[in-house]
Amino acid sequence: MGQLITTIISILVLLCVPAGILQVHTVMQMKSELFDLSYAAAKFVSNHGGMSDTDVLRNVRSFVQTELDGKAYKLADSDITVEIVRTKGADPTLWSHADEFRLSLEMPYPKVINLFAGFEKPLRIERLGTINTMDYDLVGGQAYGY
Amino acid sequence: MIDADLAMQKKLEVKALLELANHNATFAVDPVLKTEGIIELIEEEALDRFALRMKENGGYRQEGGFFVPSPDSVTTDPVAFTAKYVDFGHWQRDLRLSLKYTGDSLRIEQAAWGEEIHPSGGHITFHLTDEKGKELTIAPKKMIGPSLIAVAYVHDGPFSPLLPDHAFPVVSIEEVKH
Repeated sequence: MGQLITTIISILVLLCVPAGILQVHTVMQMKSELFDLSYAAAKFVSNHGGMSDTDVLRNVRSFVQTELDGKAYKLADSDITVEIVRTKGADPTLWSHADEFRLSLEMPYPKVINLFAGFEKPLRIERLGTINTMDYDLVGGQAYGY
Repeated sequence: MIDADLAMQKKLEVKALLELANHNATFAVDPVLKTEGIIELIEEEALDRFALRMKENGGYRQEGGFFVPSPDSVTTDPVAFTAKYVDFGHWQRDLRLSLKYTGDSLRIEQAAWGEEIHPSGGHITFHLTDEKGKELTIAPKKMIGPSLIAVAYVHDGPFSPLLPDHAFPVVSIEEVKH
């Protein structure tokens, strides 16, 4: 009887190891993806600027969606929370030259198995960026005489 | 497999951090010269802006020629760093940069300019030797205007003694913003 119990416990422990490795690996891969995605999104905002807060948020969301569609595995758009605020700005509405912003992306903890409850902090990455778009690129020129 | 993934993650993330920091650095344009139509970088201010963004995005603190990571940073050991500014009088020439990583520092040994003027911008070739004297290859880059070149050398010890170190150079080139 004792031998049987020992065998069962050994098998359970042996199964935990690959499950743990898989879990660690999945989290690492998701984190890499989130690093990559947030960098691409910060670059996108840097290069495009925007007409207003809502305009920028809408554009970043659609950019993130397009990027996710191109990935091999399915992360739904609804899984990723996008927040963006302007931390330094010259014009009251336009996001343009040398303005700075903080972009944060957050996704739920990628759970493979239910064994490691309690570690489930969402993955979150923040990026600060500087915008490289002129006012006249945004508003079409006439108003500024270009 | 996990170790290789981790090395790749470090490489991509350090590259992203350098690009974001360098992007921010190249906004430090001299306002007086700008009114005369000359785009010139204020190097000191640029490097401050660089360090600030490394801190904000990656949790790195500058100490001499190193960026020291915080516990949340993507690397575990300090990252050696050096920068070189190519001004408006030089960006159309080819540049050959020889760099040396000694373990205590990353230094530019020599910066040699080509004679020829390329109207669309010069190419930069890098020749980096590591602490063992081995020459590492870095892909050549092209300039499209006066540029700030940032070079970092990541040298992280392995998390298990059975595994090799993570050691590799990372480069970012950003043209000065106007």
